[in-house]
Amino acid sequence: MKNIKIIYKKELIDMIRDRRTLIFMILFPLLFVPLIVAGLPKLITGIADKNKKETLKLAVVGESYAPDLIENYRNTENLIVLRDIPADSISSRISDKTIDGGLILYNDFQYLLEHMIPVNVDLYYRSSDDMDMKKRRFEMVLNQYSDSIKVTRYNILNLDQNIFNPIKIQYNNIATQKEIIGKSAGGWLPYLFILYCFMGAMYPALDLGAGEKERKTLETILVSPASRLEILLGKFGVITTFGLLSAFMGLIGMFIGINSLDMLPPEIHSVIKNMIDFKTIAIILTLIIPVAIFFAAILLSVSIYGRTYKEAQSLVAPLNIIIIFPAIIGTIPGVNFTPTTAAIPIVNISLATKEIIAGTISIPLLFEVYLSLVILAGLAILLAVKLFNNEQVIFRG
Amino acid sequence: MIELRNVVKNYKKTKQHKQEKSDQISGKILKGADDVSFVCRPGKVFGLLGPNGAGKTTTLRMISTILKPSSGTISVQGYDTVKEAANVRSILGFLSGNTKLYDRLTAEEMVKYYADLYGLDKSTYRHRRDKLFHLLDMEEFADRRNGKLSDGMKQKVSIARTMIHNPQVIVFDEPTEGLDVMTSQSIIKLIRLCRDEGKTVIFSTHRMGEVGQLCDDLAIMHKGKLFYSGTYSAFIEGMKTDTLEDEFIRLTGEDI
Repeated sequence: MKNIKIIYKKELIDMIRDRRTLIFMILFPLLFVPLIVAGLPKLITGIADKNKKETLKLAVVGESYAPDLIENYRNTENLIVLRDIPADSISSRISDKTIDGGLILYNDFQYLLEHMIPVNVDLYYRSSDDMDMKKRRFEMVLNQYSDSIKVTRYNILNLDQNIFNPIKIQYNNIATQKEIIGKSAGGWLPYLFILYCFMGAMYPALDLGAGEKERKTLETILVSPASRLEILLGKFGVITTFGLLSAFMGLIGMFIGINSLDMLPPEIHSVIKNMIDFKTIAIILTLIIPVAIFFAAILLSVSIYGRTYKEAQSLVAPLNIIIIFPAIIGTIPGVNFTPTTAAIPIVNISLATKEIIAGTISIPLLFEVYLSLVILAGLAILLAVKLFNNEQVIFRG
Repeated sequence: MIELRNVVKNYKKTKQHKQEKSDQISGKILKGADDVSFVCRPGKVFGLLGPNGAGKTTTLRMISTILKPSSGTISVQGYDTVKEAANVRSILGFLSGNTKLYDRLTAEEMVKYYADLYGLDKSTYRHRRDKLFHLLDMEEFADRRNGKLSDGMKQKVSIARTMIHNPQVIVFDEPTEGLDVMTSQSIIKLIRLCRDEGKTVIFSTHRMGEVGQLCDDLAIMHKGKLFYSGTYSAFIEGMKTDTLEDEFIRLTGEDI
């Protein structure tokens, strides 16, 4: 035990002194996470606002056939109606971005309207990466016009428009806001934890295994009185610590991010804040501990197996997908927390967290999650011990 | 005292080995050491001579417990290297080109780390540390990180790391390999000092010159096999050629 402590302390100092560790561990979670959490929604709303306020140019052909409709277009904010543009040049003008859309009206417009026959109009636009905002803005004027015609027709025919809505549903959702947000967004919380935990553990694992082989310092420690198991456990302890610290830093980063989100309605803001309370975080962290142990053991195993740092890195890359993918599965709506899914490592963390946040966790299933994670972590440690005691692996070259 | 009895070390063949044709390889096995027996006495320097791939490193790694022999036994100061590996490592100092320093630790921290692992108490550590740092002229760079040291300084730190627990048995695997003349001399001096203190010293080399300079006893290895084991003086007396190099070729039937 004394040797494990000595090795742990030394490896910890060694890792802390490495700038790359600090970047992965502190800079990334504390700087990038708040930026992503707070910045991304701002960026998205910023783009949407810009799209709404952008002045659009709509070329209209056959304006005289529907003067009322075109008047509505003219009265629409940030929209310019252009005349005298030939119908056959509309597409090319939209392509070269001299106009944003085109509307072609035909000479039977008024006749068909008066006879209550559907009128055809052609709307030209270019669907692009602006969430079809332009199309929606052009369409909105047409729909409003169409609705006004409908009201007129109901009046002409002396009809109550309610007769076209035979069933009126009163929605009574008994789920609390906490439950709704918990189940829909709660899965992402452990996903982020798992991601940080893996990333935080990855670098020290690569460095303390394959890195040491490459730098030829592994043999230095192997000839010390410390046993292989003690050396392994010392290294393993540091990797686990870094994994957990990284997850914790990610959490702090997320707190900073959420606190700087001023665009959320205050009630949702308070629900999110209440959701991430001390008890919830404490339970999630207890789930993360066995995962951190598992990551540390599996990453160290791969790292020990690698001849060089580079080789170990390339071996870890597919592992990344294998581990992160189940975490994503847990965030998909419709994947439920059942005795079967509770036994699937990583997936079960995402699912359990959703339930914990929503306040609907089943205690027997939570224990099943712990059991599954502890078994997995145990197996991973056994693998690491086996590999570290294997001469062919240690001196693989 | 180090005693090897009929030591064999088999390795599983790798892809690279399969492409090579060698009498060291039979079937799926490569013989790293093939029935090796010799004794290293206290107060004597034992030289293990052989070209690259002779099995020197394998033999020394087995003595220092990093590798386990496939058959045969090795005892170090009476401790079996397999059954009492921890005891062996606690009385042994091992230095090779593969036992490098941690770049992010200082020279002082490096030596202290190993002193802690060897279980040295504070006063013993202080005494040993001061003696070694003075002997090796290390005080000046004691607080500098190993990564920032010159090769010569690094070698000194490695020596201090190897010697901090005052080991009774010292294993040097090609200790002068890749070093400049000055640094090589510091190693040679250290080996002599260890001998004078009555320690058991074994070192491997492929440099014939070092053998004459240092060895009391000698073993010649080639392709995992032992071709000679005895005193250096007896070897010189029994030589049928003019130089050590020629004698090596005569014994092994191959050029170095």
